[in-house]
Amino acid sequence: MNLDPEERWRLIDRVTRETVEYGAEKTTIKSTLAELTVKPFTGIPFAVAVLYGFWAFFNAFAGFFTDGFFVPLFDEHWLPWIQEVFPFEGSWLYYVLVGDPAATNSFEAFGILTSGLFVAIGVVLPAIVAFYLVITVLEDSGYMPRLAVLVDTVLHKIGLHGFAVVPMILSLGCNVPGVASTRTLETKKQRFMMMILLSIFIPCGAQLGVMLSLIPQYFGYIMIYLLAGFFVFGWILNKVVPGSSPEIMTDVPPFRIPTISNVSRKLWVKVKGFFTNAIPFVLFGVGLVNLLYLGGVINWLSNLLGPVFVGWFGIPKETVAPLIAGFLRKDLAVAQLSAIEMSGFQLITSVVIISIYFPCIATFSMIIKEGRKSGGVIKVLGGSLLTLATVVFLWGGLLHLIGIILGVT
Amino acid sequence: MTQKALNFILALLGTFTAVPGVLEILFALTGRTFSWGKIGFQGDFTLWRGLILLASGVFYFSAIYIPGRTEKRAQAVLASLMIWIVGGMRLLSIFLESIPGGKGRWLSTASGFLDSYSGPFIPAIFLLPLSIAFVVIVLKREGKNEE
Repeated sequence: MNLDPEERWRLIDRVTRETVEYGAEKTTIKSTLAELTVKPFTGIPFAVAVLYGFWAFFNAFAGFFTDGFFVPLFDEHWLPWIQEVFPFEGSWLYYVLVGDPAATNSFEAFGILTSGLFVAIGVVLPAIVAFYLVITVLEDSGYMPRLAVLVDTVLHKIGLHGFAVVPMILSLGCNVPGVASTRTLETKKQRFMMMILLSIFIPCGAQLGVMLSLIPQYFGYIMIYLLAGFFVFGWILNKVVPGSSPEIMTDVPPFRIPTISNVSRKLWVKVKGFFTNAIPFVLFGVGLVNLLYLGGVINWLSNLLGPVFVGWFGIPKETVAPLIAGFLRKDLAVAQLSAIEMSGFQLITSVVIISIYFPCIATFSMIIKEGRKSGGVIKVLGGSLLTLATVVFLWGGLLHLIGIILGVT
Repeated sequence: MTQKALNFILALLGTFTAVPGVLEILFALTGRTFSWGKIGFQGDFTLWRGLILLASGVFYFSAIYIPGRTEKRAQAVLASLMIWIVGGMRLLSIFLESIPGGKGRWLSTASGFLDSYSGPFIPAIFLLPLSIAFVVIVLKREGKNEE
């Protein structure tokens, strides 16, 4: 029997009327609280509070491990030691594995064993643990399905559904788990759209942190422009990309207190996955970029792209180098940008371009990996690159145009 | 506790939550910071904190009008939960920041550790005791009603 969705719902209503009996229900504070979290008037402010809590926990937890312990460990002990004991200084092998012999911190060294390990273990791992911990607690408490119900209407406008909020939130910490979590979406179309949208328009936690500390006065404008891009290009992709965006039915369970054993088991599975899947990709990516530097490819790209950046995007030629570094670490690229002399509007444009021009190497590697399960690597990569190029030129160029119209370039 | 006393607590909580909320929003929008004694209107995400406190204040006030309804009591409990998230996360952040020692040493000194707790603190931290007491009272009343 083939029924369209309308007929199917009518049939469900009829079966429910004829078979289900409703008894007297006792309203308690707990059951009412559960209802309040899906009603817009009370649910949206509560969701803002939960997201704030998410962020505050992420900053406190990741900051504690990264700034408190991993930065001193890598900068004061590991980096000087490996620079001293590693042989063949001046050779290409030294450059690829250890990086710059004069570097005084692991961010600037750019070697697989220095920046690669520091980024993977010292920066991304605490962020991953913090995010997965909160996500697991939210899932087990029963709040995640409520958040999905709350944002479902908005995300339906761009062909996604409420559960797409999970990759979005994860990406605000790190795009790598965000891309990995797109596999929870139903169709290849939704997975492809989400991978592209979040790797372009959702800045990661490290980048947000650098933006907040170096250019707090422009943070709001940048985020509004990126979020607008998310929905505009989401709407376009929904129209252009073939495939379906089905409705979902989700069970909204009662609130429960998460148990420590369940949370720790889930957290371990997720963190173990990060160790085995993501870290090798990050190390490989650092090595690849170093080889490109050695081969002169990155210098060649700088010279090639200079005129485009000045003419089309209205930003200084000097921004090309940080943009290329952004392929490795976007937060590092934003930090480098803040040292270049330019107007406020050019700085906003540069940071937007850094966010949208290409995902970082770790995210890019993860897109390739996940692409195998979402329609094939070639198809996903081809589609991603086409979308990226279109977004950079249209959205970046539009910002330049807005600057010209406002007379602020 | 009488309904009148409960209403008084709700009005008190509503005022002490909404007013700092509005102030945090104003300071965030004007880009200024302000501290009065141990209370400080500063730090990251001040605007968001202000919006959350203002919404909590509105929830407390709206619970005054029909206090007998479970939905309104739950709304006030929800407001308390929002305050706990903001205040609790700030306390966690202060605690975690107080442990590392900085350059040259792994752990903080005793005086460095204690200095981290000298303030000023965000308004939500000061609202924690009253909001916790309120939730305890409401849950006890519900327990009695069920009996």
